[in-house]
Amino acid sequence: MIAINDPWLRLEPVRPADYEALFRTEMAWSQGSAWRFGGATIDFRSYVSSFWLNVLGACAVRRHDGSLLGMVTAYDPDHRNGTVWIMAMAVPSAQGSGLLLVGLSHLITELFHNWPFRVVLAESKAPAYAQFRSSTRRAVVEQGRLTRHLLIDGEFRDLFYLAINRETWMPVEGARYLRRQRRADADMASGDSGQRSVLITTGK
Amino acid sequence: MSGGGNFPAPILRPVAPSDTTFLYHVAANYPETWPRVCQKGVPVPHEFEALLWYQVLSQYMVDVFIAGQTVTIGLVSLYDADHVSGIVWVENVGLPGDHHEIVRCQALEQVIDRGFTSWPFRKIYGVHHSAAAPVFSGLGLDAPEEVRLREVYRHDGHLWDRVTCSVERSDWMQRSGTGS
Repeated sequence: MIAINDPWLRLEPVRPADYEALFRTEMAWSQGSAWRFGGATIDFRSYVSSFWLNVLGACAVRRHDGSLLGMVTAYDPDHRNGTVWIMAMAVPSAQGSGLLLVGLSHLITELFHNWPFRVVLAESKAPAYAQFRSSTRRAVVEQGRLTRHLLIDGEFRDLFYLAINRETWMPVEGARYLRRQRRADADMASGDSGQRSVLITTGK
Repeated sequence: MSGGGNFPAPILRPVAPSDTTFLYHVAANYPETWPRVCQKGVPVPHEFEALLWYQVLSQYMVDVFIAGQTVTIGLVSLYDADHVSGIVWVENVGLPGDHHEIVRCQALEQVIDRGFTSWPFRKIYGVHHSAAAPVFSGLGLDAPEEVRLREVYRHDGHLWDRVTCSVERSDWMQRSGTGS
């Protein structure tokens, strides 16, 4: 997975130096049972070894000052059937900001732009989906939901299955995010706002 | 109980290493009927056995005694159990068109019953590709479709859907007359 620039943020492949921050985020008490481990805690070594399991690409999402916003991941690629799954995780300070959705949109665009996938799929637990359901209605197709599927914070909640199709994404959203990438690349090349030097000197 | 009539009762027995030949034959010839193992195509033999047991809670070969002979007709499995949320998945695999579908359905009933009576599962899911028969067809129960991933499985020159249906514990217990 390549690094991607956006006027607001930057995606770049996760590196070992990022593991601990991501581990702390995923295992935080405040996350409760909402994240992928469902409230269970695993040791750091197991977390790291699970990190790249069946993963096509995992990108840290950062502000241009280097601060971590979260992570977006493409996993379980099925090249025969042209499908791949995505997930996102936001650090607490970025939750609800919408910035991870921007990162995720770049990831989807990348998966269609440089890979031959037809469909990008995602699972979303009901509490998280409620936060972005209305803003993604145009591009995301609900494929159904497993009702009362998961125990989250004392309640059985639905798990939604979502699909993004190449034909609907690329002409509108994909084109828009590619323009954002080009604009950010041009800004960085011209040294605008000093973002490039920040990224290089922090190594993030 | 589905079937009834004069069909022989299914015999459920442990999966032995020698069953791999039959099971790989099913995978290689009818991959569309086995989403758990063949979603990305037929696995190579050395990966097949690992996939056969991956995340399995309980699985049994299904035999039937016909005309003085024991014949293997399929496999029933409970897999991907989530004991916290009380959910598990079931599958029922065999050779389509072998005229043993009703017996395999009876085996499926037994394994669903085992799932609900031996563990506190709330729901049991079944997944099928739209190119094949639904997992719960033939059981004569209401198994609502919950998710349909459209055109995510390529088979025989077409794209097919991957469909998830479910059976609720309360419905099952009511149907089998064991209360809720």
